[in-house]
Amino acid sequence: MTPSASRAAEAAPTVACEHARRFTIYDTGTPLDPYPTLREIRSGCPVARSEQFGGYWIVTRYADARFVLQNPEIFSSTQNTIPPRKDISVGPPIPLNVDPPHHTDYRKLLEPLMSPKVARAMEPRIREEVRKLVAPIVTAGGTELVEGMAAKLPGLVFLPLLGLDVTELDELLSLHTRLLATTRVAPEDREAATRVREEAEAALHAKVGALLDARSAMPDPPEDIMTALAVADLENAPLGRPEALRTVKLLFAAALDTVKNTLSMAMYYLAQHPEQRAELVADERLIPVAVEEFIRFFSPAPTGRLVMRDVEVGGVTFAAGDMVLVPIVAANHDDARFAEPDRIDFHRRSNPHIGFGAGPHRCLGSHLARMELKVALEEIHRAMPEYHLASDVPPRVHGGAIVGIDRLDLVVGPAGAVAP
Amino acid sequence: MRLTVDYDLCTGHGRCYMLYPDLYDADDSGDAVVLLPIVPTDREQEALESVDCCPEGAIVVELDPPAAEPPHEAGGDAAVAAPAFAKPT
Ligand code: HEM
Ligand code: SF4
Repeated sequence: MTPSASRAAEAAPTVACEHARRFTIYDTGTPLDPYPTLREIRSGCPVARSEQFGGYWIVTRYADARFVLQNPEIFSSTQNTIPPRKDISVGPPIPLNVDPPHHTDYRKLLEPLMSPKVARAMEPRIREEVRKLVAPIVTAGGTELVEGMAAKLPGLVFLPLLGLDVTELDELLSLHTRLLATTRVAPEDREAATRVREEAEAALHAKVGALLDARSAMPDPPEDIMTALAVADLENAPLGRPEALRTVKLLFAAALDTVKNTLSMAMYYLAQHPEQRAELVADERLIPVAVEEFIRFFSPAPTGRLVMRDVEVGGVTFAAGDMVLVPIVAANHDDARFAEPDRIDFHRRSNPHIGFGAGPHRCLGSHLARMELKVALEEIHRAMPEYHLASDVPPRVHGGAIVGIDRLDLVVGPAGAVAP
Repeated sequence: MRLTVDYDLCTGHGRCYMLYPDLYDADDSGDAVVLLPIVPTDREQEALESVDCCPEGAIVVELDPPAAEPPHEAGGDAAVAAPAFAKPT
């Protein structure tokens, strides 16, 4: 390397590191490029320090992210949000905020209930629900897709999984919204929002408590998550009513917005790329590959870890007690691992993305989420192979715990196509 | 060629059995089951490629010891294609 080139290479890091100091997951760009800053940080300052929320490390490379996520004895999940979670009246979510060995027990209980086999068995019902959601969109000639469809599908899939009836969808979604009342709120509205959240929590606790009691009383309860939580005994970890509630509440938080936002952003992309959409219409076998590619590309769920002992990551030393942000989307766009990472490619051969995390906390719902997304894309494109955006104004993108867009107005039918 | 999954690393992403259903299946909790632990010659290329699909780096391919070749890293050619992600330690 020439002296001037090496000086240039040295100059870049300071700028990127400087930008990292202000970075939070709430500072988003556009829907198809939600975090331009992360790209800059990865190339110029891959293990960076943000000074926001009391200070934390940001790990942006694939290899480093995987190292953090695969080593729970160094990087604990007992705190995995930045800033730390506050709305945890019954205790932290299970299994998300639990480390091995207790974590292992909870996983062993839940994994068979959310396995690929279970997802496959649910496919016909998911298909039926999707068809019911898509038919009126075709009839009406368009829709606002985020609330009109994407928000409903995961709820419809999730309710029976918990032993609830699909007629309770509106109540579920309303509870979900109210549980999150304090997450996006101005300080002056905080008190009112807290009251809303607490009332919703009380309602949820009562509901889940009643369901658990009913399951314990049944001589022959159905084999599902609610029954497992009601009656199972674990070898090492506690599983009483509080633990059952902490698990159900996590499932609420994890199952709904993740799929909703991934589907919405995938549809936003496809609406603007008619050639790639035509590929999916012509050959449905590409859809599972496309689903993985959308999950890689959008990776809507960042995570974090608490450092348990001094450790070096990518040449930087973290100290016990530090927090680490793992913006998974940055790892999944690392060009050291993925060829042309900023392109959505339905023929990508090598795609070991960590959009569902890595290590022991790998998303429990991943098999179900994939099935939902696959069936949704299949049925949408069978019923309405052509559609376009109703407006040139890009939707607002929100960052935070789950990245997504707030609105997506689609018109069914071929268009004076919107340029990408 | 031998194909194995390191169960200390496998967490059930399911990329392998989704992309290479002839080589892998899922057990009841979603972890991988190797269907062809001794890989037939006509499947070797596929097995090598499959190393690269696993987000945990849990798939291990061992080449049959050749007469005159240096010892291989687990992963063989696939590990060469993705040098940073050969199985740790
Ligand atoms: C596209 C959709 C989804 C994405 C991108 C996603 C992403 C993630 C990620 C990255 C993690 C790991 C978090 C960490 O390591 O701290 C995770 C964990 C989890 N997810 Fe998902 N998820 C999705 C859908 C779902 C669904 C549909 C469910 C439930 C039905 C679900 C349930 C869970 C649970 C229970 C965990 C905690 C696992 C543990 O801590 O052991 N997820 N998810
Ligand atoms: S892709 Fe890797 S982690 Fe996933 S099931 Fe296969 S071996 Fe296990």
